[in-house]
Amino acid sequence: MIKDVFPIIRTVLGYADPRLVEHASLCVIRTIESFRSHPELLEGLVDTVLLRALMAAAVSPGTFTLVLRALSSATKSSPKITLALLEADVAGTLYQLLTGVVPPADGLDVFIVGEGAISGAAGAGGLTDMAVMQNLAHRPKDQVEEALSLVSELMPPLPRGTCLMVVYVKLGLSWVGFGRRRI
Amino acid sequence: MGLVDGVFDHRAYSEKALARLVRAKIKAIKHARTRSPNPSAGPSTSADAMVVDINVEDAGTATPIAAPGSATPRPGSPALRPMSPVHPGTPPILPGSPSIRPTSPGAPVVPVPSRTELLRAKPEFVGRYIRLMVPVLVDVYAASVATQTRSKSLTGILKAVSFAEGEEVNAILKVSLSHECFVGSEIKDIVQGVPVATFVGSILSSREYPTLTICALQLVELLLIKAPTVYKPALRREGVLHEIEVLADRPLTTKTKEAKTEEGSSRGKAEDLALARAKLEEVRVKQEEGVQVHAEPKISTSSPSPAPEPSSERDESPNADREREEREKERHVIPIPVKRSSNTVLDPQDAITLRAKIVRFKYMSGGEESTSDPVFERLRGLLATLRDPGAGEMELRNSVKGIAALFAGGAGASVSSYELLKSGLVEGLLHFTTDTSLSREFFFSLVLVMLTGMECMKWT
Repeated sequence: MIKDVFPIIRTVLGYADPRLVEHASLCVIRTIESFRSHPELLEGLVDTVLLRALMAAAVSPGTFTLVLRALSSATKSSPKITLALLEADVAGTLYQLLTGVVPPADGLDVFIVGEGAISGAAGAGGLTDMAVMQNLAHRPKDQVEEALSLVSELMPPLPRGTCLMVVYVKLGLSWVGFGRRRI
Repeated sequence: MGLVDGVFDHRAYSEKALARLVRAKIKAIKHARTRSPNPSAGPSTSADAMVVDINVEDAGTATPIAAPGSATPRPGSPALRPMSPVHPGTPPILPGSPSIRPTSPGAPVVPVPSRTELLRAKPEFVGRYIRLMVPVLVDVYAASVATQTRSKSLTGILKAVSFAEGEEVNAILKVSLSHECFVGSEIKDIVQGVPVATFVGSILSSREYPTLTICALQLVELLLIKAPTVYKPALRREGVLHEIEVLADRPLTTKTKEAKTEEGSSRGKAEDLALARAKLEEVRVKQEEGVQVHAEPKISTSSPSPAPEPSSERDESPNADREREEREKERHVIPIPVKRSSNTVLDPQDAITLRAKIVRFKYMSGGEESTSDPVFERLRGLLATLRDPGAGEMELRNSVKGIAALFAGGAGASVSSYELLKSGLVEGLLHFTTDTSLSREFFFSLVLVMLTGMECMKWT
């Protein structure tokens, strides 16, 4: 039933009315969150076209943060959705979100050497890292956090047996606890 | 791939693991000496192989945890057998991996590919994503001060570098710096990309948060595994290897409850470890002299190794429960459902020290450490000329020009912050400029040469 409705919701995501787009986005977000423990069902609902429409939807910053969180959940749940997201050019969306500029067409472009502290992504768009910092300062903090979470989830997993460090802070005394955690 | 797996396993970076490595190297050296007719011929390769095998064994001691969507491995898998040869290019094939999902009884089982396999099947999308995002993550790290943001950025970078193989690592990071010191005299394309060596050096030197320092050490190790010829000189120039030496030379401070109660045995083990390392040095020295070494280092393995996990549980009191609850509330970093049974509490600084020790032992204990950085040596040579009271005007002039050329940048060599600090350039120039034995006219002409030289090169 939900599967039959999703193409209609995907169409609504492209409408001009912002309220409709907002509600359609929330519908998709809640569906993804509901099915995150059922990857097979989620893979049947979420495809590359829907993901493109969801990322391109003109929604409020708060809703976009929820979109990022839902995409993180979906990515964590299913590797096929990870691939669908990569095919839907999530890299460009995240790049633009974090740097404020459109990414180069080809990731192999030679970066431009120039004045100032040009490092990392700066060369590609002709920016300085100060511009990246300013862009991040203008973004809501939770949106940046969710974007970074999504970036991390989309990355290939670390090798098996990886144990992350767990840092407990208590009354200024730092202790490290080794725990097993899936990444 | 097996070497990379071990980088993220904390159990491979303990005192026991280090002692095991040292013991293995000693055995390998002696084994090679007894085998080969020429005692001084090539023990290091077999020692390296032994170290590599021990690395595999250490990696294999960890019980694997499946990543989301990845296959579920079975313990005791043949790919992680001790002493098995390591094939870096081949991903480990484990029995029961990928996971089998039977559709119906009697139906043929359909293997489900793991997340890593699925991603490797689409290199164009994954490659573009990684190439775009890694520089952004570096910038986000530099632009943020929140630990969680930095931690997430660094984790993303680690994942990307861990996944990349061969030339992909260079394509992702596009290390530049002074390429004169890379790969002999080959000059690679000068592309200003992600200054990864500077990035890692800044994290290690700041030492503001243990998790970030450990991630930086993991990144260093990944780079040294994947492309040592490219990154080792860069890391040396940026002072990363020096920082690792400093971290490794720190004394351990861990005093867990079990270590306190068994302090005598711990001290004995630390002494044994020091003795083993001293023995290793002795063997190496005597090997050069062509003398047979017969003594075996005594490392007590009979003493029970402290088992912090169960003991910590046994020794828990109500106060500890309360403390743990408070800890849970104040937990600050990436969310973690930690299994108590697998917890080992260790001082974060000791974790860093041990990891640095093992990185130094694995990658920095060879003879190539004595090879110098050409830019650094050139800088020191120029400074020595400036300091030489008997140097003539022409020599001084050429030295000043040479120093100016180093700072001009462009296609030539440039000076890193670490080289600037270590060479004593600032003190040397201060001493030179305040030297009263130089005539004023000559001094001003030298300053003019320096400034003119720098300006010309800036605009070319």
